[in-house]
Amino acid sequence: MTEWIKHIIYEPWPWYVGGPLIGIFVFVFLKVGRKPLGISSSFEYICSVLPEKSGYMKENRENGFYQFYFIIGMIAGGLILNLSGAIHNVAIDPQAAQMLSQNGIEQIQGYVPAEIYALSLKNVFVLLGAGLLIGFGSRYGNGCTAGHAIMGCAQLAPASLIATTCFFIGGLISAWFLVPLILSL
Amino acid sequence: MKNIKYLIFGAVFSIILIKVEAISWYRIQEMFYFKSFHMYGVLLSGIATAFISIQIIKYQNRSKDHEKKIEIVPKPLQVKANILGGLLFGLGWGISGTCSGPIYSLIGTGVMTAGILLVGALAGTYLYVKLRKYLPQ
Repeated sequence: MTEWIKHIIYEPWPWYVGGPLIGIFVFVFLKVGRKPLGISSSFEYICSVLPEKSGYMKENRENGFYQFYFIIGMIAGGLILNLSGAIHNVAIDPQAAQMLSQNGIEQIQGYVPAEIYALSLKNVFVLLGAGLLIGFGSRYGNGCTAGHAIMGCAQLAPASLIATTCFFIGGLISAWFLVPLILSL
Repeated sequence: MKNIKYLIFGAVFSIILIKVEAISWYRIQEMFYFKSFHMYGVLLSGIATAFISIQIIKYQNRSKDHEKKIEIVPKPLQVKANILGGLLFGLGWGISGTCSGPIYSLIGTGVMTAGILLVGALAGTYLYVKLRKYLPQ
């Protein structure tokens, strides 16, 4: 196999490759899939198996069936890279790495730190809490980074520009205050 | 059978997110520390290319029959919900370093505890559906 194919498979992609690919994905997904890009609505689709009186979820079950395949595909995509050994360590900016280490991240390995993702009672609460915020927030705000930040901002939709700004404000509060607090516990 | 294509779409989207490291907690923290252009580059070039994609689809829509048109509807403006929901989502994004899609990707790459995030996200969604009539929209 030629070097450059290996490079594509095993090395991380720079932003100027991955970013435009996301935009091209939006095109193909609209054209062939006939759906706007959006992920967090899949939570509602999964939840639609639960009992609910207002009929809000029933609609989801009928319109959102494709999402079942999409999320299985997303898991499979991760699995394919995992099995092919294409998982790499992330090399972040040295200054950012230093800041993380000051906050208590011992080593930068894999995609996520053991301090938050290793199985422990504390981390179960942290991850459940973060998940709760992601699920509640994305449904209340009517979208996540895919639906609002990429798809919505590309349409210059006011709702999406507001939501994306708030994603960043929330994220900044977490990164600067909540994450150091959680790591110090 | 017509849904099988979404399986492939999901896998492709997931692989893009993983290879560009958008699923990495470290990259998300680095972005919020303003220490690297990487994630901003991903988002901005993604939005710019998606903008062109949408313009092409809209242009092609003009010469098509009504049924063949691809609907692109902007999300409705709900100022309070967009702000409050956006802030809560952002808090979760900053802590976990993942948004909705990467939760599934991470599970695939073998980070099993991302499953706890998914359970939390589903609980949050269910909570929202139960509470939505009391929330400002």
